[in-house]
Amino acid sequence: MKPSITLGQYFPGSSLLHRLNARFKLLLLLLFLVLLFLVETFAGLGLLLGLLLLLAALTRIPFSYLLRGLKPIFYIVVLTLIVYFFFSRGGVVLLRLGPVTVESQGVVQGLFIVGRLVIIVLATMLVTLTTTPLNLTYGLESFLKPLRLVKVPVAEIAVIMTIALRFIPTLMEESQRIMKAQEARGADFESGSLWRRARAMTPLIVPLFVSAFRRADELALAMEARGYRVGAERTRMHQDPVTARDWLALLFLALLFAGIVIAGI
Amino acid sequence: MFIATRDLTHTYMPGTPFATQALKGVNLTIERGSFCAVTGPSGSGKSTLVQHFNGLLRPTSGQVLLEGRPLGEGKDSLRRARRQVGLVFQLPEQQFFAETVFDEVAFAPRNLGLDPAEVEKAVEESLEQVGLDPKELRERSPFHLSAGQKRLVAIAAVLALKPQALVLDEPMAGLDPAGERNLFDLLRDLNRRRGLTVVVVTHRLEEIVSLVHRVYVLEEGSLIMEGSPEELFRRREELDRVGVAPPPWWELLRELAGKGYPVNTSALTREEACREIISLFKGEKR
Repeated sequence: MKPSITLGQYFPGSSLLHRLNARFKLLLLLLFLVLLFLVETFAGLGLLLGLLLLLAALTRIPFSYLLRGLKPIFYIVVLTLIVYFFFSRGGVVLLRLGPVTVESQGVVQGLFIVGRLVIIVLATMLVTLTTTPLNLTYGLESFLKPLRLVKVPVAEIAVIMTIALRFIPTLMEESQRIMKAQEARGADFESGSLWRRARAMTPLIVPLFVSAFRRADELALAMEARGYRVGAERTRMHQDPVTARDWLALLFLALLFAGIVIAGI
Repeated sequence: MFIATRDLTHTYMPGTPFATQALKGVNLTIERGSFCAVTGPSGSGKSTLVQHFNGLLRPTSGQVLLEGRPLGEGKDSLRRARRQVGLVFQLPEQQFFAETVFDEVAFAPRNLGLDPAEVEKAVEESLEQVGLDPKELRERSPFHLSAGQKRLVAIAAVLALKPQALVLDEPMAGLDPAGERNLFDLLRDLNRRRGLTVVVVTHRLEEIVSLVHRVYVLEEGSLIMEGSPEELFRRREELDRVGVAPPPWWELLRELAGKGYPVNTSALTREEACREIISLFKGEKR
C-alpha cells in the first residue's frame, strides 16, 4: 500500500546530467523528444536508447531504481502491444488463433510504439531525477517568462509549483502517519473488497485535509512575515549558472539531430 | 515478560540513497503491569521503536516478542498485537475525522467487528476511563473540544480496543499545565488501578519520572542505558550527554535524605515534594 515515490524524486549525485543547468536540461529534453518522433527506424530508436542508457549509467542511479520508475507504464505497454499485435493488419501472418491473426506489420508497429513510450518516460525521468524540484520550477519559470507580457503571473505560478512540489513528500508522510495511527485502531486498508477499501480511505481524507489547510495558513503567514509580496521582484539564493558544459551539450544534441535527419534513420 | 525485542533493527527506505538505520540491535524486555518510559534526544528512534510493539512497523532484522511469541508468526498474530497493544500517536487529536465524539471513539470497536450494543458499551467505558462524561460529550464534535479534552478523547479512542498495554508517543506535548496534570493522573490510574502496562515515549522524562518503574534511553538507534529512574540518575554525566535530567525537586528530596533529613522520597509530583519539604521545615521549627 506504500505509494511509489521513486518516480521523479530527485536523486542526489554529481554526474554530467546533475550538473547541467535546469533550463538547458528542459530544452534538451524537448529537443530530444522532437527528435524521437522524427526517428522512423529501429536503428534510430536504438541509437537514442543507447544514448539514454549511457547517460543513465553516468548518473550512478541504480538500474533497478529506473525500472521501478517504469512500472507505472507497464499496463499501457501491455495494452499497446495487445492492440497492435491482434488488431493491426498487413504483412505476413505470423500466428493464427481461430479468427484472430497476428500479422508482422502489427508486431513491428507495436514494438516501435512501445520503444518510443519507454524512451519518453526514461528521458523525462532522467531529467527529474537529476534536477532538484526547485531548479526544475525555476527552469520552467524562465520558459514561461514571455507570458508575462500578456499579464500571466509567471513568478506566482512558479511559487505555487515550488510549494506544491515541496509539500508532496510532507503530505505523503502525513498520510502514512494517519494510516498507521488508524491501523493501530484496527483499521484495515489492505484487505477486503474494493468498496471496503475505498470506504476505509474516508477517515484518512478528513484529517489530511484539515492538516493541509492548517499548513497552508501557517505557510502563508510565515511567508508574509518574511516579506513575501505578490508581484514583487525576487532574487534567488542559490543560482543555477549556465556554463560552457550546457552549450556543449546543446551543440552535441543539435549535431545529433542534424545527423539523424540527414541520414534519415 | 510481556513485550520484548531481540536484536531489533529497523532501516527506513532500504536499498535507496535515502536509507537510514533508525534502530540498531535493540534488546529490551517490558514486564506486564509495569510503567516504562522510552527517552532520548530527537531522532534517536523512540517512535520507531514503539511502532514495532504492535506490528505497525516490521523489523528489518531481529524480532519482537509478545507474550513470548514472535510477532508476525501465525495469521492472526498482527491483528492480535494491534488489540493487545494500544498505540497513541503524537498529537493524536490532529487525526480526528468523525463528526461526533461517539463515532470517533467507536472507530476501533467497529473495526474489531463488535455489534452495536458492544460498541456502545466500549465507547462509554473508555470515555469514563479517561474521566469524560459520555452523556455530555457523545454528540459533540471532537474538533470543538478543549485541547486537554481532545487529547483525552484520542486516548479513549485507543482504549476502546481494550488493550492490555497502552503506548503513548509524547502524550504531554502541547498541553497546558492543568491538562498535563490531568493526563498524569489518568496514566497513574490506568497503570496502578487498572493494571495496564503503560509505555510513554518522551524527551522530557522529568514530567513523568515519578510514575516510572523502568527507563530506556536511546541514542542514535541504540539502547544505551536502562534501569529504574534511581539507577539511571546516579549516572548523571552520561545522562547529561543525551539531555536527560531528573526534575529538581526529585534531586532535592534525595539530597536531603542523603544528608540525613527525615524526608519521604516517594513523592510523585512537584506538589507532593513541596508538601514534604514544607512539613520538614515545620517539623524543624518545632
